[in-house]
Amino acid sequence: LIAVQVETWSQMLPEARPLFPLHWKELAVFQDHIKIDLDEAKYNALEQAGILLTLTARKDARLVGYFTWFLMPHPHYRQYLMGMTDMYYVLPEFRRGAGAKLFIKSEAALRERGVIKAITSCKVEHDHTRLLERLGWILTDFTFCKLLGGNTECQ
Amino acid sequence: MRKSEVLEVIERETGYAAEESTELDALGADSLEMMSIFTALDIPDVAFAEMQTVGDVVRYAERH
Repeated sequence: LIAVQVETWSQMLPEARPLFPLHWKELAVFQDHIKIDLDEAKYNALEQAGILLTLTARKDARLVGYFTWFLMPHPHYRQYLMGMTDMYYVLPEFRRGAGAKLFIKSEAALRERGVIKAITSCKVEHDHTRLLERLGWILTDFTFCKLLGGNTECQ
Repeated sequence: MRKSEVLEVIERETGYAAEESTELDALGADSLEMMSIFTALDIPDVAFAEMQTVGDVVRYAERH
């Protein structure tokens, strides 16, 4: 049975480590230039600061998907808490409604925390527009990326 | 809505002759298709998010 729930990042992390490279391989852009290198300490700090919201999808007890959000007041609108998608992923063999459940449960969790607006996205190659619109999300922006080269040793 | 009607909708949408014990993820429907089933059954998204088996769907539909 696949269940979706709010957990902590630290609870999820040990089981999520093997999923992150699969997620990156399937969805990240510019992979020849930008390699996955997740900053676990930063995520821990974000969780401690109350900024990180983590939901998991589990098939029985096994972690099969996750959704992480950043919750913070927007610099343009200091009095409003906004929810910004960090990342979401479901193992391909478990994409049988788990994605929709992650979005639905996310929305409930964001509402509980007083979020006024949530922002999410999807890759052009993995277009979830119909699902998101079915769930009541509104298409408001297009996102563009450009590879600039840059320093590979940013601190 | 009766059990037979729920099973009929599920079979029509997925081609799967489900039983109450059938897990939802065994229906072979992706998220969007799953949402179509629940729209057809007039079951709200928040209720869907808690459901695990066809039996959960049947019981909800029978109660509402």
